[in-house]
Amino acid sequence: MTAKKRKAPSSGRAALLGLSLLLAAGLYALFFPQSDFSTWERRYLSSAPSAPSVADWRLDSEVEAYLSDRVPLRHILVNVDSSVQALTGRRTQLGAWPAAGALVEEPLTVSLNSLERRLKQFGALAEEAGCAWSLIVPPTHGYLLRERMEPLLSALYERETPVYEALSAEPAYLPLNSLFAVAGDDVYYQTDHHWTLKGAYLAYSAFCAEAGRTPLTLAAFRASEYGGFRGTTWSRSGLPWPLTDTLRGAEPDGGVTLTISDNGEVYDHLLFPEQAGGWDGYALYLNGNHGTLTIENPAAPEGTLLVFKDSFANCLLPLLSGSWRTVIAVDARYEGRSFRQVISEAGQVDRLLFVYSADSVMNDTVVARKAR
Amino acid sequence: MLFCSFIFLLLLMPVTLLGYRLLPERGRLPFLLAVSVLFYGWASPLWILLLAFSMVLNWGGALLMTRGGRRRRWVFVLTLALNLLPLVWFKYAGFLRDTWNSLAPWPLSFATPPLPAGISFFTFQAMSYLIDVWRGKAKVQRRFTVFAVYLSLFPQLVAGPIVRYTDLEAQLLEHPRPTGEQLTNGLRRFCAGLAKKLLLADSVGRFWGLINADFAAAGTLGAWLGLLAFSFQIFFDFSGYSDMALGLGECLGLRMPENFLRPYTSASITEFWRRWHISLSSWFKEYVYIPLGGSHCARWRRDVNMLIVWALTGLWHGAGWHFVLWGLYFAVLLVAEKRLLLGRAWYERLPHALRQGVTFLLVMLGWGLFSGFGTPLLTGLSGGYGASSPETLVRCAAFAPLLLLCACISFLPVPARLRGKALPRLAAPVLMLLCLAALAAQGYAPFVYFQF
Repeated sequence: MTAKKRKAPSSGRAALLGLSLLLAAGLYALFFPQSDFSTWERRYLSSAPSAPSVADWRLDSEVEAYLSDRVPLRHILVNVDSSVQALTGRRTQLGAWPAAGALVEEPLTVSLNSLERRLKQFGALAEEAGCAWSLIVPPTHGYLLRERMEPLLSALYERETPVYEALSAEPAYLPLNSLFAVAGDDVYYQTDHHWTLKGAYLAYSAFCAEAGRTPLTLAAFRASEYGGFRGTTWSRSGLPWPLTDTLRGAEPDGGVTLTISDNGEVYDHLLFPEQAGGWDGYALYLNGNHGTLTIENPAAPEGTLLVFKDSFANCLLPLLSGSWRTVIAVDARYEGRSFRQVISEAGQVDRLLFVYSADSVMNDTVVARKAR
Repeated sequence: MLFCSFIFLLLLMPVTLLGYRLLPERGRLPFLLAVSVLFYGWASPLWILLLAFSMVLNWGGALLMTRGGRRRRWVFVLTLALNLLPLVWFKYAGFLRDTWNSLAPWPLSFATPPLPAGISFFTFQAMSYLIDVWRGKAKVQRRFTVFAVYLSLFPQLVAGPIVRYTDLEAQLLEHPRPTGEQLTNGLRRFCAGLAKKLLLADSVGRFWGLINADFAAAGTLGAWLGLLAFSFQIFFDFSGYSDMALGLGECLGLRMPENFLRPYTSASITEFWRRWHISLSSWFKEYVYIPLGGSHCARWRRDVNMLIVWALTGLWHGAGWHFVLWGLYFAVLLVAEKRLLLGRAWYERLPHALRQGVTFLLVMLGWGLFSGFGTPLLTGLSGGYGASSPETLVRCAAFAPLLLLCACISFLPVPARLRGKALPRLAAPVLMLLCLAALAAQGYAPFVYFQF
């Protein structure tokens, strides 16, 4: 009979190794700082702690924020945590979550009163401009996919329906929901909340028809595409989502002038391929967001189109410039003037177009303030 | 400083544990004292003054008491009073002012400072030393460093367990180099505690936060699941902290008493309080209940003693009437249980699972009182808000697997082959990785018990 083998006491070497690794990670985070900007999170990281003052002691929170932002392999750690959450059923706790094969943002915060106020404001602005107006509010990606989601999630997105019903009661609203519903999955990016070129082209065609102009075919534009794009929903989810998108853009084939009023820069193109590979690939269109920009296309039919917009319009504007000689686009977030001031200073405008996400049109306080 | 912060996990903990092993014997206690003071003062350096005051007061008070004579009693009473003074000022002054203002026609107006972390814990620990010296149960410690380390020992400084001086005295005087076995087991326990806090308590706490933000939207299902989540949050938060404290203590070669023994497996309220926050229950029993007469007195007197002890226990947890109510709720349950149920044959014959379920339900309702949400929570639990909103249903579905996991860990008995065993070898690094991931992704939330 052999005696049962007794387990040898631990030498503690593994524990010492673990402690050394933790210390090395801490020292690395503290003394080998990385870039101040996180490209995958699209944000500036916490700055180094300021000199401590006993009266206003913030050293603890500042050091913690600094270390938290600069801990080695942070991206992987966040991926691990988000994956654990998703695998244990808590995907809806992430900033954006996988549903029906795509990454979608959380459902809208519905505020029908606010929507009603905004529609009145837009109508009053069009009256002041003395021209017809249209409103494009694309359905959210989650809303489009709701019927393919499991019942609980589907019910959550179903609550956006009154928003589109309220919008449909406004004659100026261009209903895109049914168009998008049958157009296929590629009207939205898989990793970003914006529509693709296909989605934007559907909106462009609908708007041209509404405005009495014949839309150009996509083939009439100079198209370009760039792979490896990962957008905001990918960043917000924190998941190691394996898919990437291909950014596609289209612009009139030569002769255009883009003037960005923020910095006075003038370009002879509307797409910026150098941006496509950067941290904000969506800046491919019009070099990102700006307060006011003007696109002139002498080859296009006469007319001035004034667009009040958020980033959804960035992919759409190059298409619109194929059908309007002058397109002026104003983004409230970066423009100091009120919409009324913009209208009074824009001169003769033939048509007014509002292009906003449903969230911006209801919940963006800057738009609400500037549209007064 | 919190255990679940990067500054602790990546810098202070490894430096302390590695440094403590490397230092020669005479350097270890001063090193531990310095680390403990840094740990405590990191959130607010002014708190160090408070801790230093408590160290000097109790060390000096106990020394003065040894001189004997007629003044011994006065020194004891004065030192006890001076111990309670900062606790009353920092923790209860605002509560007393508000209570006074709601009753009296002459309102008091003064600002109260923020509550220093762990003041209730180290004050009670200091008082236990003083009382034990007064009673002759503990020897006076003449070496200031040893006493200062006892009072400020960072693993249990801010959230317990409340360790009696006699439990640590010999270990502090010897303070040998921790063995590899102690370091390994201690770190494994620390990782288990950290995981309880970051992966379970904070996660279910987020669900509870979503529910208590809008009880009307939460509806009946949301209110019950939310309260269940809060019951798990408070358990995993506090027992996780205790595990971390005990684990770190073991890494330093110090053995501290257990503070939790699977309390949600209890089949009676009496058993629950023998398993929950054991060091606090023992403190009140030893220093309040027994001096009041304990159970060696008339039944009515014993019941009154219970009410006093539990009202004080409630107040210890927080300066608010709902805490007092929570304490009295348990006093009534304990008295009723002792008088009507315990020891009765018919009660003991009931299935354990049934008694365990009823006990947990009563404890859970107690946590409802403890949470301070009062009427809205009660309305939710009683069905007053009706059905849950779609958002709540999605949240309930999202957190259901986690709540189930918490329930399994809390309620089910540990399989015989795992009983008394440390965490498996690979589990500790995996849990540490998951905790660092949670910390990096979600930031950190202060411990629930940090505020007591």
